[in-house]
Amino acid sequence: MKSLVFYCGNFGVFDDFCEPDLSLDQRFIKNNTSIFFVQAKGDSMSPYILDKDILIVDTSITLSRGQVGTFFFNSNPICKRLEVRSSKKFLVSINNEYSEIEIKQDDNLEVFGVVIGLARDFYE
Amino acid sequence: MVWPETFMNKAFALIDCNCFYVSCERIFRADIRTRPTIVLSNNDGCAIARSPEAKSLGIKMGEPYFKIKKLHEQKKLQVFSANFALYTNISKRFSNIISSLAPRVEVYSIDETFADLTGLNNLTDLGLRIHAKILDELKIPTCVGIAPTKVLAKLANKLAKKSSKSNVINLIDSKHLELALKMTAIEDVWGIGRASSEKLKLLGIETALDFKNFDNDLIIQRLLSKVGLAIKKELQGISCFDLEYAADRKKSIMCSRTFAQDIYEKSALKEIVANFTSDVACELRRQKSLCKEISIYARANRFNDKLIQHKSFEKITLINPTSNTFTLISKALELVDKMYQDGLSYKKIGVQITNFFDNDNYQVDFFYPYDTNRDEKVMKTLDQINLFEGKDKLKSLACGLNRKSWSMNRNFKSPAYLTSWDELFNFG
Repeated sequence: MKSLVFYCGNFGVFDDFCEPDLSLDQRFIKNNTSIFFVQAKGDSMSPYILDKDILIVDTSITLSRGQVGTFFFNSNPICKRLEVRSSKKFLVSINNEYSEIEIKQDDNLEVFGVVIGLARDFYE
Repeated sequence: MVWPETFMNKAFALIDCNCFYVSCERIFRADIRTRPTIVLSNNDGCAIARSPEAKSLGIKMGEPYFKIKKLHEQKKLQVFSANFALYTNISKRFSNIISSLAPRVEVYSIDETFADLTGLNNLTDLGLRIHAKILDELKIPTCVGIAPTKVLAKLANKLAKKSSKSNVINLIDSKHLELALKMTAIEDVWGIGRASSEKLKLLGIETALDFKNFDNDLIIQRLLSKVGLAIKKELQGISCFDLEYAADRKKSIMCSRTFAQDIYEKSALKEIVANFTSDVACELRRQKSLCKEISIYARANRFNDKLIQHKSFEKITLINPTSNTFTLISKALELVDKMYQDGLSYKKIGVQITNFFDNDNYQVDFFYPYDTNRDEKVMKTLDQINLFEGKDKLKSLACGLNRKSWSMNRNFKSPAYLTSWDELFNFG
């Protein structure tokens, strides 16, 4: 005869439905070899990006037009939006008080990575 | 039909970063991508990495800083103190990128990784892909050598380094193999040290090709043992060395440093030893081991003949294995008491722990039982606080209040861009 088992307690319900906690790493760091945390400086990208925001930068994806990226423009580290208009490239600030930069022939523009998100501490 | 792997032609790649430390310093410094740049050893002693531009200035490997100080002051040379937090972070990313493209890898050193590519096709393309991905994601230039054996992969890598045209050299079925072997001096073959190459030169072996074609294996075995013979076979394309996987857990952990100044006071010595002990204990807990032995050693400045030269070593065996920082510090300080001699100067000091046990698999001494659970809880709390609040937030008072009094010279260190929230790189 088959023995009958009587369960006491939670019927194992908690074990079955247990899933890992959500974590921001899991959400934003899909590729841990190519994600870099860097910091924004200044207000040229406000109101989207503020001074001291932590930028999550992915160096493995190719920057497309309209995306915000981190660059070395003639060796200067800058965070801007790349725009292409009538086959000319521009680095655009979101803050209107900053004028856009047209990339000329002898300028050297190196893309460091694409800004895929940011982290901000409200009370620091 | 699928051939068993042993019958398949093997293929290995060695991926090696070009002047790794300098390349790491250049990741965030677009302004020095083409400037002569060097990285100094711990304590700013001598050059341990040189950019090609620095090499052409005539700076030798291991050149002491004081000899190149002038170039630095004239701003003709960019100088960095070693920033190992940065280098190890990039190194981990480097080997992870390779693991994502190759089925099996061996992390050979901080800047070199072997990959087993046996059974894959289009190896040169794969090599180029590895090279491009590392350059894109990490901004680190690499060279890739591909060959049927590890020794040949290393050789191919060296040739790629020398070549101005190609970053990837594939010697599999290559008609240039003979030439590659001929171009490589015997002392540049992986595993052939200086002593061995001297012996081989007496036999008229000057290049890797001479070695490969030398027809008396008995002499080689007698001169260089079985390993030497294996190297010869590897040069012939017969694979003898497989990938080696580093043991996950270390069998000993050490922390040692040469200090800028000579240390005379016992109190300073104790503070240093306490700090080193904290570091090794933390590392020990990270790999979930316990240790049963701790030793310290110290010696005077070898380069100053006015000082009394001495080397001291003390060791103690514990009754029960532990990873408790405080227990280990108190034992280490006992050792300092035993070792210290008034009037002697100490320049290099080290702490080492050995005789490891697994956290969950050891025996407590029958006559000296003690509560290991309590130990574990205390240490877990300590590690957690230090993880969230910053390294050394909570520490034994024996470690002193600041490390400044005896800390290293690192006058030109770049920020800890990747390991400290306070030192992130800024984009304007």
